[in-house]
Amino acid sequence: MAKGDYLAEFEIYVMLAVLRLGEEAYGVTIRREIEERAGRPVSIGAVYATLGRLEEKGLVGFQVSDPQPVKGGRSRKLVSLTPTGRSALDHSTAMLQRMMQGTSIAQES
Amino acid sequence: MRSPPPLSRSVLSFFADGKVREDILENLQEEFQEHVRVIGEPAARRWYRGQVFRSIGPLFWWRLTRRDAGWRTAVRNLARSSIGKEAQYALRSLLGTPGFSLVVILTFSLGIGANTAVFSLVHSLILEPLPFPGGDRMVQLWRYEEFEGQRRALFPPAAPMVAAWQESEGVFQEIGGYTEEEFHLTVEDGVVSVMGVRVSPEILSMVSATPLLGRSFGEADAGSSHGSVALLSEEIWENRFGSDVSVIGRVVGIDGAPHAIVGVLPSALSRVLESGFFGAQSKGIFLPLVADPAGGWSGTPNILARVEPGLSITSVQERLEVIQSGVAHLIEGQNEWFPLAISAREALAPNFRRGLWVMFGAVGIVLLIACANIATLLLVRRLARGDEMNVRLALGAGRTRLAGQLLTESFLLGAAGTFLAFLTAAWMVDGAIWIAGNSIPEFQAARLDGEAFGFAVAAGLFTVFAFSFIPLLQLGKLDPAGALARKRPRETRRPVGWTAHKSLVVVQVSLATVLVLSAGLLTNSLGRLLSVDPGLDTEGLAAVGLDLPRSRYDLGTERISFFDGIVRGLETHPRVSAVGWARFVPPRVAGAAGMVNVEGRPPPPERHMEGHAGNWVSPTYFRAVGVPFLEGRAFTQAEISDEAEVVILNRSGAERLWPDGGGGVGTRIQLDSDYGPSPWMRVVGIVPDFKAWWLGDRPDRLQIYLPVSNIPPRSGVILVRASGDLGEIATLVQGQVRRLDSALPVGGAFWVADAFHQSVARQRFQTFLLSGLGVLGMLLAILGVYGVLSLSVTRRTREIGVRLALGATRGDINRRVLGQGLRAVALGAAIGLGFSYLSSELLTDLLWGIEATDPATFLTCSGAVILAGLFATYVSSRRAMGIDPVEALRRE
Repeated sequence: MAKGDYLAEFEIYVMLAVLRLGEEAYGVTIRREIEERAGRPVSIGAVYATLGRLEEKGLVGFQVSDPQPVKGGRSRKLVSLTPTGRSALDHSTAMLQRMMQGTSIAQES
Repeated sequence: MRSPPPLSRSVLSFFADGKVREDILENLQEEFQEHVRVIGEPAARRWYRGQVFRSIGPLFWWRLTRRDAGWRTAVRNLARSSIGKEAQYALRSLLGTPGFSLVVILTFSLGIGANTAVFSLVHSLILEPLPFPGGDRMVQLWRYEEFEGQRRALFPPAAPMVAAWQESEGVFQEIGGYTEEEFHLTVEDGVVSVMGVRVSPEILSMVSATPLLGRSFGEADAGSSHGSVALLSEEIWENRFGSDVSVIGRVVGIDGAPHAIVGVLPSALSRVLESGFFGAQSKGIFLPLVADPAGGWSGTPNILARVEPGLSITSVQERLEVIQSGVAHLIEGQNEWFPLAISAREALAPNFRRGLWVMFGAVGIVLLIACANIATLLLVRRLARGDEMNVRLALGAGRTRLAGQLLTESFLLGAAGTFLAFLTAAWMVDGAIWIAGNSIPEFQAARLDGEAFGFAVAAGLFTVFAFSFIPLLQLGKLDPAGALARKRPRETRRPVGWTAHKSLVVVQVSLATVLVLSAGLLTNSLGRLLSVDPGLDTEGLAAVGLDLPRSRYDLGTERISFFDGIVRGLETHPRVSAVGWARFVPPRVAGAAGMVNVEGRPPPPERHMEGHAGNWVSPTYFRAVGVPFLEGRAFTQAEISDEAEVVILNRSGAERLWPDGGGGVGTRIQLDSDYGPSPWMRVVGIVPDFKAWWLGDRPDRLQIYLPVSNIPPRSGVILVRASGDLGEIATLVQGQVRRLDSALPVGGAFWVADAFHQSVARQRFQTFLLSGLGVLGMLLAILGVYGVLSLSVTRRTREIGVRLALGATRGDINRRVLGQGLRAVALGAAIGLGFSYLSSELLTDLLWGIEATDPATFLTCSGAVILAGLFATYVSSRRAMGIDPVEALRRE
């Protein structure tokens, strides 16, 4: 990975949420997932700005789902990790783990 | 379906990038509907607004920074707008005259930079509340004794007073105590002495001391002298324990007793503590204050408290006095004590408040000169471009449009200048801290912050408008019809703005005169201070401080024989010519207030306590510091071992005690102080006066020297007169100390001359700063004078040519130009002198040994200003003399 392509903290959150949500991943669910898990308020703007940035880097992709099976249901823009995104996430989290090894943080977790 | 708040929706649409706008709005809409169902519509709308509000930042930032960002388009759009056109035009015209633009920007950045730097000093040292919650409500609590209407030295409050304050309601939120101490810390390679402080848990909570590691003190940690728990400063933790995390829980020896380390305090905190609360030295160790079994703290610690919100210092003082009336009878033997509350902020910077305000005034003057200078430059430029403006007016440009363009130019110059100014200020503050060094430790707290930046921007705007003002006024006077009808403006008429020009010269010169004069006075005063003879022979005199641990040197005789042993060991060394020891080294001897009774003479009816200097000295002390005896002799070894009641006085002291002569040696005196009268002591010697406290100390201060056996000190100073450098002398002393006690830490050696030099560090710093400002102001003013006169010469080229052609000599021309310039300069200098004379009161506090209206300084400084003005005038008149009449007329 080129220098400067490291993932920022919030980018990692978003990507982990996408990974976790699988086929359910779109704006609303990603926002809630992070809000609930990280326990901090997250704005939809922050989520989309990050998704936009990740898309520019080629780490996530969008695809439009079929319309919702309800009256007037709209189609959703679902998010998924690209293979590059997946490996970037692995790389970042592995680095984090290596950095934590042997510190008090690692013992607590 | 409910619809979300429309305004929020449009705000979001505005900020969101087109690519994601729809998605975001849809997502929000979906969640909004859900919220309406679950928490009701009003709450859902609030939620929606919150989401929009918090989304703006990230979305906007993304748009700015994304790789295919639209900001280039935005810039292009802005450039097409009218403001953009204006700015482009202004930029082109500024770049067309790079020399002019550069000089203006540099002048701007120097003027505003110096102001911002001094502002940040004033702000962080005087104005800003202490950097912890409720810092503005922090007070120091003292007691003082009133004597004949005069407030005497402050003392830490007595225990009953503290107890009463703690019980009182509605005054204090928290009351804590602290004492400063020097500790001996046992580390791997021996014992080091570390300044430390004993604190009650309240103090740490008041200054929000969150430990970097481990915990802070709790109620259960009340200290005892037999060891308990300790906190380290970050610095000691790094330097002595290698930043080892496992230090928590480790037991170390402090003053020979085991202490468990429970935490490390961040250096940011120790800096706050260093900057004044606990004296000026950095503190490495924090121990809990020793509790008194009877309740409260043992001894009389210094007291720091945080008062309830909304109480002014005056109302706190009133409350204290009410409380005091209830406890006065409890304080042993004293009913004349009064409580005193001092705002901690003010207590921190008592020494240089006045100095800093004067500096602030001085940089303000520099800024005004800079403004006048820039205004001059703009005028020069404007006059040079008078025709351009006239043409533009004639072609139909509105005056508003021209004014807008002038302002845009000024604004661009100001923006560039302010940016540079902030950098300049950062360097200046760093420089000031570096120069102040360790001698003014409070300065370490100074820094550039948001407020300083705000100040710089405000000063920048002020300057822009100040210097644009005159050129704007000129706009109204433009006369396109007249100017274009004649081929050239008539030179017999005064050029546009000439009066404004001359008055700018006068203003600049008068302001520069004020600055140069103040700098001159301070320099003169410092020169006098530095040339003061300290009264003792400091040449080759070094001092080394030693502290004896209480645990191993409990008895006074042990302490005396230790120091004596070192002196004896050094005496025989071939390189040492004299050696002695004392409790203190001048200029850092003790001070006390008291009265002196003379045996066989009734005390005079009107007596007042006076501050005197004192020291406890060994028999060879006076020989070591090179002070001869005027009468009598030094203490003898026998007097030390017999603990004889003897005393040595200085000449001025003796003259005051025995005004008619006689007496002196052989007579007995008694010291009467706060602690009650001392035993009668026989005067055995009289020594000349020398400076006890600082170089500027009053010459006739009473100085009292007692034998070391009077109160055998735990810490003392070895004074060595020897050949060689400091390191060699330190090694010499170290060797002797090792021989007697290998576990004792030895402090660094220092020259006594340096200590005297150090005693005027504040004066040196102020003088340095003000001189710098004086030089800056003068340079700017010279530039201004030169600029105006050169302009005048350029404008009058033809006139001068005609005069020369008609037979005027170059000398005549020279005299004319010189005369014109000198009149303005002299007028400016005279106004500056008058102003300085009227405001001399302001400087009085900063001066030593010189009047604020010292005629010699006034004369030399105004002479210097006029000379500088003459120089600037001469350079411009040279240009006038160089004019070739043929050339000048041919241009017609």
